[in-house]
Amino acid sequence: MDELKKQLVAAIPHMMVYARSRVGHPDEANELVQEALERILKRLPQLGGEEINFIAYGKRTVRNVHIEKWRASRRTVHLDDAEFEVACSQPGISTSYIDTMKVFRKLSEQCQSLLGLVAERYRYVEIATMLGMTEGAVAGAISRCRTAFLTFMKGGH
Amino acid sequence: MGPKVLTAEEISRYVDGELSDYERQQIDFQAESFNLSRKKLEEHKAVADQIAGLFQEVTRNDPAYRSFVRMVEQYEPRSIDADIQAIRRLIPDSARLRRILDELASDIYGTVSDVSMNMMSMERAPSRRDDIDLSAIGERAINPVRIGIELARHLDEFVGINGLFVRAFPESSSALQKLENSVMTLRKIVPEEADPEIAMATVCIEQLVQDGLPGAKIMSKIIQGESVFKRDYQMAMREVSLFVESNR
Repeated sequence: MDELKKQLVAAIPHMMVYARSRVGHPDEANELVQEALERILKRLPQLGGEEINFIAYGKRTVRNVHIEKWRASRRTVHLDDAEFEVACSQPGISTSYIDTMKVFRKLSEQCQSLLGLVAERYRYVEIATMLGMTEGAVAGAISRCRTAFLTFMKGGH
Repeated sequence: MGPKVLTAEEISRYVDGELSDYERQQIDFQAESFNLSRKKLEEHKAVADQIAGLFQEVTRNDPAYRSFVRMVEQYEPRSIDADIQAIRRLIPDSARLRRILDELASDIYGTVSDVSMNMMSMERAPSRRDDIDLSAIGERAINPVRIGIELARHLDEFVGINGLFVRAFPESSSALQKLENSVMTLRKIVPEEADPEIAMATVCIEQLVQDGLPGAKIMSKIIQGESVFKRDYQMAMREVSLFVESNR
């Protein structure tokens, strides 16, 4: 159980960044993460003995919570850039952070995961195990994801 | 090795510190001698720093992060979902349990076959649309036969719980027995003569709600002609499990 909790704690930053990339506003994102964590914690006792990728599981739960909230409130899930910027703009949130997030959210989920994992100093061998890829594939994919990030950053599609 | 454009894999391994000292030197050499490679390396390094900044933002500056970590660390799990286990202990026959859940779920929703499984699952939260079935609102208040049938079904299906309840609260035995008699009568009675029996059933149910009979609130809503939502059933199942837990 403690090991599962450690893995879940390690997934929290990814869940938070992912939640922010969906809703922008930090408070709203934190609410999504909290609800997602509550759901996962309730299930934690049933997950013992299973190989779990908590980063993927955590993000999927955040997505489920967000979709359910959207269905309940009939609110827009996908904000355009301008709406997203408004949602992000809070005291203490820098414009460079918002700019980075605006680009980050355009990446595929696999790219978000890969770049997030290297940002957190995971080794390629660990990432390969987590995502079921070879080390070589991880290295190539990370480079492609960074290239995609650069392209979006420069206004490309 | 002559000058060349660095490959995607070389670039990412270099930026992420996945190379040996010797390999890094080779890449540095390439980058110094070939402008295109140097530019690529610098760009990718900048992207890596930017994204690392996103994660630092949440882990260093967001107070929610620390509270989330505490929440996970301090979470005390119940042994394999004690609520569901309590229900399973009470109703060990899985086919019967399934039938009860289906009955509960389809009572209002009719054909929604997976509702009962949702009730057993904590992953899917009910949406508001799931909660409300407008077509169910209406005729419920005035048809004593239907009221009698619905109440009887609840009493029949929860006969094990009711028995446990009566053992825990023998003083409720009388109200439960009177209610059973009333609902049997309601199933046969003509509407014009139903009021006294409905009044009797209402008094009994109110008494049982006060006593804490699991599911009595649903029966109360049924007899008053109010809409019963899925959440009511979920609450009833929660009451059942709490009751069973507290009386083991």
